[in-house]
Amino acid sequence: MSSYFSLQLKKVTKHNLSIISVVILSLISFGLLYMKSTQLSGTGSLKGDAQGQIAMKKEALQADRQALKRYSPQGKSYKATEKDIKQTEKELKKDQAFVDNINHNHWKRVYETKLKRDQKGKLTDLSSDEKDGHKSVILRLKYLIAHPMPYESDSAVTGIQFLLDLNENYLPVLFSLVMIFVLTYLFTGSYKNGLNISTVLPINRLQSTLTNNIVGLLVVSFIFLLLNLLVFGGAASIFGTGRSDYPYIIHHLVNDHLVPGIIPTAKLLPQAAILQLLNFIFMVLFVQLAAKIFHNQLPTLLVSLLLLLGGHFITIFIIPLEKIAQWLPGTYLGVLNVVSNQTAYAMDNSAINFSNGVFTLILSSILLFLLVLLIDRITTIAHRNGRLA
Amino acid sequence: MSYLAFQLKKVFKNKLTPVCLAILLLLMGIVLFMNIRTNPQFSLQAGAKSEIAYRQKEINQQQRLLKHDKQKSKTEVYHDTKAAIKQNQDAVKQDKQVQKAANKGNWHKAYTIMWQQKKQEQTITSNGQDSTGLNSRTNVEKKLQFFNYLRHEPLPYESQDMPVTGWQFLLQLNQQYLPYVFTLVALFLLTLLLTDSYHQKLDTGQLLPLEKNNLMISNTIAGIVLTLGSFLGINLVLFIVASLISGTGSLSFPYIVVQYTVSGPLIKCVTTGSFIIKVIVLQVLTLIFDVVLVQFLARIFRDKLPALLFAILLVPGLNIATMIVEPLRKISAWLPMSYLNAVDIVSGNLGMNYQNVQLNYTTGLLTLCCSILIITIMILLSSHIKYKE
Repeated sequence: MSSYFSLQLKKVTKHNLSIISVVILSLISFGLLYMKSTQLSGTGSLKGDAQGQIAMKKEALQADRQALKRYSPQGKSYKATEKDIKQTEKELKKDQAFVDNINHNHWKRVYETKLKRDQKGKLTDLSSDEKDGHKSVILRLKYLIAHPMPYESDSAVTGIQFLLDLNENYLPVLFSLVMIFVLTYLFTGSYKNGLNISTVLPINRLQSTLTNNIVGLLVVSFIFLLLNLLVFGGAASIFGTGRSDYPYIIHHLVNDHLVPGIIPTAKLLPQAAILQLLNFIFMVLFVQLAAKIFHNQLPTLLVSLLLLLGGHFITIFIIPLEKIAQWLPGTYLGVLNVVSNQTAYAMDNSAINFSNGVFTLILSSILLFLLVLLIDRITTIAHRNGRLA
Repeated sequence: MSYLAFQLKKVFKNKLTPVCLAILLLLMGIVLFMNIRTNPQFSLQAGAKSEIAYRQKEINQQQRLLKHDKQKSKTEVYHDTKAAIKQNQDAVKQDKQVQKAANKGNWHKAYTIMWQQKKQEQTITSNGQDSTGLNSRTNVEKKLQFFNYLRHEPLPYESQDMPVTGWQFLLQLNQQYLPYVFTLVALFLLTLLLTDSYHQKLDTGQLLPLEKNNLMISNTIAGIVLTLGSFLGINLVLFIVASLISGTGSLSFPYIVVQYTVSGPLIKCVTTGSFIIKVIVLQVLTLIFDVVLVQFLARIFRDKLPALLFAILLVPGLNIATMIVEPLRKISAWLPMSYLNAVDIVSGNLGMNYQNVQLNYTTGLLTLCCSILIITIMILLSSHIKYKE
């Protein structure tokens, strides 16, 4: 039993597919990190915007001063321009103070100024989504004023923020895609010309199925952890780790409506980790089932890709499915978005939450496992009958 | 020759091929069914009808407003409302005329009225100069050109939002679904064809009494026959089914083509026939590119799964990545994967979306031809190096 376990484990880890997949995933991740770092002080960032404002106002000041020379000191336009210059100079001083505060890490003052400015903005022209977005930014600023810490929302580059961004937007699909390849290799490796050669080994089917599942789960989890560790290490060594109590925007249910809210990042992670593990179990069992049905590498791969990844995207193409999305395991692929209720908000279905996710994933995993056992049983009986005949 | 036949038989007799093609046909059949079900709501008459209902509602509301403000009959608001009612009533009259003319089959009259309406709309939207209005202005301009063309050549109306006639349905399929789904299936079939001769990383194809280059050429031809054949087959079946249900449609029906230039979008109307020819040329080139790419990857990895993983990440993966990762859009014209969606390239929609002047038909021809040539040379070089060893 344990030797079969180590055989299967070696089969995967020593194959270049695993190495290739880790290399590809880390290359893509670091490529993204590089791209994010180039946006760090561009437009849209806290400091970049302020500096842009300063440059613009300086130009305006110069133009005004030039104009002043042309007007006669008694004229109306002279006085108006003089007033303008005074106003601009005042604003310029404020912007300069803002940048100085950022440079000297006086974060509380920075956030207070930013909050004042953001609250001034007009909300009437915005759609309800945009209003919610604005509200969450205000909430984040208020949290940051209460717990002053460096700003990390310009571009997700610090260790923790980049890891979150990666797991939120890119890894759910990308990692699943690559892992389906690895799992397909693991589960169909023992089929030659459609026959399972592992049946000649002196272990029973249940044992071999269980061993395969555990190996699959271990490999997927290990690669996931390794990748995240690598990415975290890389980002943290360049841009610092970032704070674990930095605010994370969520949506929570108030009177049947999802409204924006804020929690420290660290509080989000335990639930996300549990859901991620359940997702892996579901994926392993699904590929295992497909392998047992098709006995062949490419069909197993195609069906797993189409159903596992297609299941994640199906609600985009068939919109009525959004109403029952909480019962589809594919909905829970992006665990961070589920835990922060972002998925629920986007699909307008508040039933998509952590507890329903746990329930749906466990239930569908059990179903898949029963199906795998059933197929095992049928093939065993068929074999026995074949041998008797 | 016999090797070519052998290779093709290998693929077509594998269960994967018919299953893949059947899944594709089934999916596209569902799309056709949905289109046929919702098409009546997208006819010219239905459009006029909903427009009438909307205007009528508007008129009722405004009349209620008038009654309310009876005593202030001298104010500006009163006159404005009265003018608006008049305008709406005119619009209702026009829409009724469109409905009548379309029902009678008097297409020339219907299109002329529609053209006049769009002309009015254009004068209203052209007043707004902001960048957000650019989109709506382009849309109105597109419609204007469309009806202007039809005014001079009154063909029966065919919906392009919910197409059911043969040619138009084919174009929608190749714009929205086939570029991605068919590419995925084609990569699977090509992997099956081109990596099957590798066993334990050794090429058993070398044992055949064939010359090296012959082998490669046969493989490429088999790949092209396979992908082109199945692509044309799927399109033909769907075209026939759609045509049997609702007619082929006219090849001289207009199709709107946008050319993104620095000064603004340039909108033209071309016949569907001339449009389709360009699309086919580009589509054939992308399929040939897929074939040589998979062959090259097969030579490098000498294994099914890694070759397929790379092919999927490179072709549909990179195509989707350009949608998500904005910096990639600048270089997208020089990536052969950007031309997967030939319809969007030829119609200029992709160039418009990515704001990339170079993303057009001619660059597509150049990029695809060059990359096919480069990869072919690399394959030849790699086999030459192997031969020397």
